Amino acid sequence: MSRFFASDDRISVQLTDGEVAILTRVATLVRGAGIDKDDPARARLHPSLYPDDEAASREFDRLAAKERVEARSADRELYAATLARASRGPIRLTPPEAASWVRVLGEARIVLAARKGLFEAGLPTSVPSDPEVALVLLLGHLQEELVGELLKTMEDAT
Amino acid sequence: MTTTAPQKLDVPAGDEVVEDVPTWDVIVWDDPVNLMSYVVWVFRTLFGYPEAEATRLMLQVHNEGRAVVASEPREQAEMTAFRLHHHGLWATLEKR
Repeated sequence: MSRFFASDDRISVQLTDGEVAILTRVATLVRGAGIDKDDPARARLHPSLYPDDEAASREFDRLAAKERVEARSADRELYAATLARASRGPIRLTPPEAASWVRVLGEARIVLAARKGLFEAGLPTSVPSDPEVALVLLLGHLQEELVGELLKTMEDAT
Repeated sequence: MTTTAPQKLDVPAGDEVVEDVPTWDVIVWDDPVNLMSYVVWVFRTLFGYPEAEATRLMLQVHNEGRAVVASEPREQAEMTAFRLHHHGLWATLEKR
């Protein structure tokens, strides 16, 4: 059964205690991700905009840095605040809240996948023994469910 | 004070001078991590594309490795790429 259900323009969310615990861990995982120069997630979260022009890419990074941090922080705060409500029972996400969930789940997958070398190796096709790789798959499952419901609300709107 | 009568310029019809603003392609590249449905949702959300167009572009990224999702003047293209990066997609710019 899906944890997410579209109703009007809201997304109802019903999570088990275990799922809330996993998603709370996600909030911790993405905090500060991509800032450290040695973090493999950095290049995936902040791709080089001009592959053939390093100077122009650096200038773009410099100009975008503040707004980039603010946009991701806003997502993470909204996600954490709504997740805290979800820990007390079923909730209904507004469209901006649901969008923050989708992006934070995606960000967490990118961070984990980059650190585990999955952008190069690809996602596993069998059940992985590494719990962090398993988390990439689980978060993908949750993101897929949520995106599926969000796409339904778009279809309803057209 | 002397006045000069306006001179009629000999400009051929349909040959108006239009400022040439370079166009930049916003390219989204394939990766093995972002979900196909998520990419469709991003294209629909950011560009307002109908489902069929968003799906066509997502499949082009998936099958061909890349797709041009927008073509705009540089400043707008940078903003579009910024928003794609915010959504975790691998976007770059190329001058047309």
